[in-house]
Amino acid sequence: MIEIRSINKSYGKLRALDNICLRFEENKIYGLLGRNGAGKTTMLNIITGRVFADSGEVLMDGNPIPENDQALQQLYLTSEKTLYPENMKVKDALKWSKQFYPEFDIEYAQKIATQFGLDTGKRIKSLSTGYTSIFKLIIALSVNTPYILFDEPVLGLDANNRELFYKLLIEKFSNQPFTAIISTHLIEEVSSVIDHIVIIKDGCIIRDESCEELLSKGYTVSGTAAKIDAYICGKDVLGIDSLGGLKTVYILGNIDADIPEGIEVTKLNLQKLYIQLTNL
Amino acid sequence: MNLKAAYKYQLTDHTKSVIIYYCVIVVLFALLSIATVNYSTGGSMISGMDSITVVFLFIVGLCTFREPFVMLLQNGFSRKSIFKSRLLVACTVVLIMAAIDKVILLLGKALSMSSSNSSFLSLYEQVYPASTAHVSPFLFHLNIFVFDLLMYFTFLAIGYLITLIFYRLNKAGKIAVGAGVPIFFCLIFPIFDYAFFGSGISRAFANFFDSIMGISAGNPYAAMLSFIVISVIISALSWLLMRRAVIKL
Repeated sequence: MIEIRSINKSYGKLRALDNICLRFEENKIYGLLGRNGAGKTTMLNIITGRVFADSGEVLMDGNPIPENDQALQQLYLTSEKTLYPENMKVKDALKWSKQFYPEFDIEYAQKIATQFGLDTGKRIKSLSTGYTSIFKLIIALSVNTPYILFDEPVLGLDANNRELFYKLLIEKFSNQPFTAIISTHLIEEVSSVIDHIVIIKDGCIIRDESCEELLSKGYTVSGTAAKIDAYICGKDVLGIDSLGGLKTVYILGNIDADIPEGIEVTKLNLQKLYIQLTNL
Repeated sequence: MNLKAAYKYQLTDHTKSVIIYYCVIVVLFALLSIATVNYSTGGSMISGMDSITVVFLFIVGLCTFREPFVMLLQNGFSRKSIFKSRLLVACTVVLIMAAIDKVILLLGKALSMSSSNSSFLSLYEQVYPASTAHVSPFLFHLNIFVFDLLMYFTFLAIGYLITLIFYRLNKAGKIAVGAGVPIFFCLIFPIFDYAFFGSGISRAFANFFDSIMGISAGNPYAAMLSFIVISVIISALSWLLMRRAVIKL
């Protein structure tokens, strides 16, 4: 288990992370959601020891992670920035990955490279944004470490390749469970994959609960503005969308037994909920 | 920890540049030897080829921090492991290059013996001519090898430290150090020293350098000891800078 204890991090006057406490348990898929600049990448970089926190601790099974080779070898982070030498060929990067991570499955990497249509003879610098992301995803999916952290994994990927990635991720997870932390903006796509959701806003954790639990905490009502306004009176309203005379309202709480006629009730949508929570 | 993998990766990173360097040196050596043997009439001397290796290693030191550092951090290595493997790689590279330079020196000396008017000298022989007399050939060559080895390591470490300093500095700091240091040493300091001390500081510095290198005393062991001390200090400073270095986004 990875445990983050009271992490603080500032860049000059900007407070990137504010007293973050979190746990990432084994064999779960986490969605780390937050707006641009919320602190997601900083948190992932601190977990993997690439950046130092100003205060606080990051532990793996009770042992500090930073500067701990044994713990660091249990983690793999695909970052937005490519940290592989630009002149290195993809096939050489795969060979080196095998050297660095004994469990790295080079055959599987080559197999999924073919599925994605990535030419492993190419140099990393010659890859497009999408294929650079694919290159990093191939390594992440083949590295076989207990914790794999994805920072914006589908950056620049077309819909087909994004779908292939989610399919391979689920396949991999089903065959050999691991902990995946996916930091992304594409909430709609990832919502069917994640078990647990962590929402970060302005460096603070505003939600840390299972996806199911979070979505069951509220509901959506829609109808004419007059009926909706009357219905939501005294309720814990997360947010309101208005379009002409119609209103959609996101409410926290249990669904009333008697819903007035003309009001439609649906489940909370993760993306809508996220937008409302992070807009507050 | 898989220290061997980090060592192998960093060593491979150096291999290509070292091979290219020696291809150039061998061609240069062959051309100079042919010219010396066939066309020299008034006597000739080829000297200080090892000083080219010093410059090469200094440049290698300047160019080899960032790429392996971020690559190894990406692949689960701690800064401690990166630094340890880096030290091992530096030792390996200087050992190999000192050995190759030794072979080139021996070949050069063998060739120069065939021509009565030519000679092939190492940097060591030029700086410490007195110390080459009255020692056995074995000790003579061993001294050159150890001297080269330590000198190479020192200059490689200096290059590495400079690049680490620049990596840690922000943009303003890079400009300040990059421009400020040369301006200070080439312009401000000489004027200041001349105006106020009659170049006394420069003389004192030259004397200090002379004594730690044992040049006037003809004592190469002083230089060897100094190279060790300088290398230890520079490596310690490099570690202090690396241990808090982060990936710059």
